[in-house]
Amino acid sequence: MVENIILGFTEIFQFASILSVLIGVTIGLMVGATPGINDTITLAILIPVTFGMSSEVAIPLLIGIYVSACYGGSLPAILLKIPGTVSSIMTTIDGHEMARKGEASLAIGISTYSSVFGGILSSLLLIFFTPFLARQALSFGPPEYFALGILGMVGAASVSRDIIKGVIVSLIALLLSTIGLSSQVAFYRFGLGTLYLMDGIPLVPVMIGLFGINSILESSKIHQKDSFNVGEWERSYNVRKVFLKTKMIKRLLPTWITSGIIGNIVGIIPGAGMSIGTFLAYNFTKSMNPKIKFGTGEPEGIAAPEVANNSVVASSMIPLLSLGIPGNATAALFIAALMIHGLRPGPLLFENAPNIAYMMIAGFFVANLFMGPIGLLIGKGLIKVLVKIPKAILYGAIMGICVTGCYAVNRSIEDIWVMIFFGLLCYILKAFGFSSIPLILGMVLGPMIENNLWQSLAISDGSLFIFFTRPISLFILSLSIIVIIVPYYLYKKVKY
Amino acid sequence: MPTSFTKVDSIISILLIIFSAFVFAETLNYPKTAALFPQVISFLIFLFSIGLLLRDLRKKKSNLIKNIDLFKKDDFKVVIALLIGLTIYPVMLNYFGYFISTSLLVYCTIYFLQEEKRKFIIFISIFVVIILFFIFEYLMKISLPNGIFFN
Repeated sequence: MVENIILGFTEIFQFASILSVLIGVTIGLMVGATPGINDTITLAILIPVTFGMSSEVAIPLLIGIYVSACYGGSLPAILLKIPGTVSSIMTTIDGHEMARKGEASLAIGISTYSSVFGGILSSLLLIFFTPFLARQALSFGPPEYFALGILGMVGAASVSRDIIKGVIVSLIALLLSTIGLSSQVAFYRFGLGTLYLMDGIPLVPVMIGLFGINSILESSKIHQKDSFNVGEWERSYNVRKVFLKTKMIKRLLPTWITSGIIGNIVGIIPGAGMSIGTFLAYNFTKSMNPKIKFGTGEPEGIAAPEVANNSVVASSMIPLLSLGIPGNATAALFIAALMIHGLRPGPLLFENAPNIAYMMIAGFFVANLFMGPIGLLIGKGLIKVLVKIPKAILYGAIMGICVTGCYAVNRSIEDIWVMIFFGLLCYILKAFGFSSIPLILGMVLGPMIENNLWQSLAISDGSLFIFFTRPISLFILSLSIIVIIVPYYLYKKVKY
Repeated sequence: MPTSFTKVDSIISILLIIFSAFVFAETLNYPKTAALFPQVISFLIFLFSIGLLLRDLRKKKSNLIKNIDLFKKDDFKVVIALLIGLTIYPVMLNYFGYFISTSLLVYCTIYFLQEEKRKFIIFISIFVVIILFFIFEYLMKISLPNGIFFN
């Protein structure tokens, strides 16, 4: 295993790959710091752009974006009281109060140290836990993969705060995944009179529609050009003061460790999500430190959510890389990114393309190392520039990237229609209280579930008992029940 | 738009019930192995839609009224304008090619999203498309459509 990890680091330290990580981290910081855009939207619209790149360049770029976007979100949260991403909402509470007290540099310093700590911690978990899990998964048969597919679907459904609606969207996604030639009997299902859907609905236009086009449609709710008070924090911001003293590090260490554990557990659970991690870590730290007045600019109030959200990033890739199950929407986008390059995540990736699998793992570690220094160097200038860009122009540019990227993958105008359809569908779903995230996860997992269901039934002569008589399959199915109950309980417990 | 609806979930669940019944009926002519999976899924959609319907009927007032704010009159006009722009785009792409169609789409998007300086929007739209054209056409070697009129 050690030699494979070394192989991963050797791959990532190739000039093109390391440059790609650096560019990705910078883009991630920019999109994270820009309110209204997040890592998911950026990855969805940039995946087609990576089409022409080699996987050694494309994947590190996407990893860099994913890793640094949630840290980038903390910068406007602290300096302007505007969370750049949903995962930075909790950072706003104490972060901005600290900046108002003239300690913007310290707040940014705490956020940076905490983000890097959380990121490194989860990267280590990814490095040591994923290959182990993947080796176990190699002994899985069709019933186990079917159960894993169900686990992924249940996780996707539990993303929604309304479980019934989450399940309905997941089922619709599974239905959409059956469009095209059935792999069992080569029968063309739900063809709608066109040959275009013969291979099923293409994933890339779906992604761009769900995240890119939908974000543009939702931006219609912005009625006025937002104006931000940049001057307020500028006076107190000094890059030299962001380095934390040993006393502060010692003070924050227990918060970092507990929040890191919470973030990593939340990250591994499919569907639980980054924002739940930050709320849990903040509330846990608050309950553990009753003497500290949270909400008045306390260091622990920044450290807890920042460690937690960055811990979720790499740990959310553990089920994807080891089992092929995307834990959240961003992980599902990585499936599409890998598929564009002819790769499929899961245990076989470690067998078929160990250089890519271990490069991804090493990439998370390296991206986290780069994130801190880059953030500190360009953070201040970045915020000043980004908040001045009118939203309309930003979304105009996103529209251009969406349509161009969508066309470019297959050089198909039909793909643009698919993108428009899914953008509108996502907008309507959200309007009526449905989460759109299960849609992408369901469409990715649908074929896996159906194929393994048929193979399992073939093994067992049509008996469904095969799923309950094999211990691993039974365990995974039991885990599915926990996965739907735990986030439901957490949503109820954490009021936000 | 339907801001006065109190039973939005009921209407959605009825539509889903009809949809699932339609899908189920469609699969009746399929071979057994191709039909079974979509049949099970459509049956489950049917069941959960009934669950949603029953839950909504038991409520005095739907809790979705807040979400329907997405369909506020002014926002809705912008969404419709953006959708019209998007729908015309693939048709225009065939005739006028990538450069003109995409510039127009980017221009319309910025304009509809309330940026008022028109000359600035024209400049930005063309600038964005030139950059994208350069990336895809020259760096990635993906040919973008010229359009029937410019072939």
